[in-house]
Amino acid sequence: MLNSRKPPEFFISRKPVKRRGFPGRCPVPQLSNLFCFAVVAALAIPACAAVPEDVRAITPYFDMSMAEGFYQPSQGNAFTGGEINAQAGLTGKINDSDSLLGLYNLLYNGPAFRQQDTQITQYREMSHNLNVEYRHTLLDEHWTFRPGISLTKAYTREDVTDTWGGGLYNYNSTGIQLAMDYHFGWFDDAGTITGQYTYHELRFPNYSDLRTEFQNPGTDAELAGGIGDQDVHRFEIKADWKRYFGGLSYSLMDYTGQQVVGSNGDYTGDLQRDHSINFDIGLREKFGLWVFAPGVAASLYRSNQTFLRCKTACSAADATTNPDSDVTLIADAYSYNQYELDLPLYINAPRDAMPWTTGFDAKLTQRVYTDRPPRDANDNYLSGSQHDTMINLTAHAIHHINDIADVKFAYTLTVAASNNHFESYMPYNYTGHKVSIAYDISF
Amino acid sequence: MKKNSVFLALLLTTLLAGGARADFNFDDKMQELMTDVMSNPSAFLSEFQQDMEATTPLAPGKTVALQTGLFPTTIPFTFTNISGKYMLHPEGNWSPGMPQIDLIGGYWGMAWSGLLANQNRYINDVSLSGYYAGLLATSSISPRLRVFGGLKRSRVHSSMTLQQPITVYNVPVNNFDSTFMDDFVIAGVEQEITLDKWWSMQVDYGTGSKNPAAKVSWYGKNFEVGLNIYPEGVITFQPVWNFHVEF
Repeated sequence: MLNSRKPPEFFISRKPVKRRGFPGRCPVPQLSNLFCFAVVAALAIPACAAVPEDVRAITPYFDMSMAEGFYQPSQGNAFTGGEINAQAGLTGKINDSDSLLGLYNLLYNGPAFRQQDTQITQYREMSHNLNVEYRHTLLDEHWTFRPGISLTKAYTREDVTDTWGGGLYNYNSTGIQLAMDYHFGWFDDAGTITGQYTYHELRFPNYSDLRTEFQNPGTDAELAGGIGDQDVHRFEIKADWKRYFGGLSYSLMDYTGQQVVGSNGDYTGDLQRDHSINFDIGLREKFGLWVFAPGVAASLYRSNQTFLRCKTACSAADATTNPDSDVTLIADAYSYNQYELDLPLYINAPRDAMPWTTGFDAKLTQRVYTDRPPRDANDNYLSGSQHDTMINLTAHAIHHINDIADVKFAYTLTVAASNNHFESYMPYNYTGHKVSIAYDISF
Repeated sequence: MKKNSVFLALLLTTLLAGGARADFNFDDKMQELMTDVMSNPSAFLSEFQQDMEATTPLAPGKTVALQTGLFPTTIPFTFTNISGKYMLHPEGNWSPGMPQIDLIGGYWGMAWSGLLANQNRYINDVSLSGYYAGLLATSSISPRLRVFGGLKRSRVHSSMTLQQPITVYNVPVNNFDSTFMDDFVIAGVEQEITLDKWWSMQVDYGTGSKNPAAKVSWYGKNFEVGLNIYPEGVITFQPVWNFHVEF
């Protein structure tokens, strides 16, 4: 954790985990648009001109961080990858109980070590996000009603040879939010309970029907796109009191065009529907200057989509006429339970008192598929269910450059282990080192 | 200090004892980089152009600035360059809250391109050059803190003709003639550290190429040192050293 500063409580939907595979791949909800930056910037500059803060009707928010890392995996060659997260926002106070918030976010994520079965290391994503949120406090400020809208335009690349704009996983998202906060005091400690519903329409203009392309090479189905389009509903309740925090959410990913592949290798006519239940809980405990903030999380992800394993050519006829051939269909191949343990320990001291601070983090993630068996190195299915484990051990040092900026030096040891040894498309078992430098500025 | 030493010792121990078998293949990496360069030489050179560009605002009270990039441009590649800034509007002059507006621009060329062609038996002709122009708007958040944003157009042209094809890491090269042009959005923050010493951080976003870049720099009355980061570039980290004067 770089520091204790937090961005405004905008809603940015948590991404459902992206999955590779055929045919059901599921990218995400998030937010955007380029002109929004110009709008926010144009508004921000005159608005935040040298006016005393206590009389401002409009307060700017700015946070920018950039990081670049050098990655050395035990398999494959070394590579570099960066992250840029630039946010510019405005809070406009209408009266004592009403305010309007706008936030533009440019987010870039470059090549990196990633959890197994999510994306390849060379995957890059860049998104432009715009959130607008209205806040209304009522009943002696115990309650805050926060409706909002969000727009996202995201570009993806799977390799350096791809071009921005042509990515298979490019998506546009429009969404709404209805949120209510309840602020309370219990045993002289303040707390907040938040109930929230978000709805996003995710559209994938470049996502084509790979199954049809494989089975009917002459078709023009690849021009159709949009096969991954989905409507995402998310219900969430979360609480923060004293030094404890936790949350529970349910998400429904309702695909509008992607059908489930049946046991004969052909589409069944049923649309894909994925469900996810997520739970997390944690605390922040201070020991002098040190803060220990352990957290645990669990996700139960269920999908009715199947996985058609093709060792060579792949067709529905192969699946029906020769079931012992190299075509195998795994039902519920994307359903899994995932558990996470995060143990960050860091110094939280006044910036003037300690220009250098340090911290450590140990993070364990384990995913257990409910119905997907592991594969050997030759793509043959084995007995049991696939288990993926990833451990990240990080040590960092932070130098406070001045009262608004930090530079962070970090080293991360990544250990990825799985009983799946089919690694033609992405690594499952490796050890990796990452050395990175990151700058952060916030006010 | 003792804590820092303990941390560094722990970091080094972890690095050495991490257990990963590092298989860094230099030839493969160089081939990958060379392929990236040859796929669009001008886009590669545009990163060097960004190194020499003057995209921070003029100091308050100054009207004109001239800048030349020293490293990694003039040194070692002889990319002779000149940049300028001109203040069109001081902050708050026309009306309270009106930001400072700066006109920025510059040009560069490879000084020894003719000499390189004449003295080299492989190259018939080489030409590398570029320019940029744009506007910056800057506004004070507090007495020592300013935010700035702007737009700029950058163009780079590169061409080279070889007497005979050469193979560079398995990439055959006969000649190339390419142009890179893009419009960038700039957003950043500048803070005055002490009298006449500033620190700034900015993000550039190419609207056409959709490539982001970031820059951190420290500068005083005459010199600027910085670190440019091009996450999608061939050389992702580029340390920068520039000289400037302001009037």
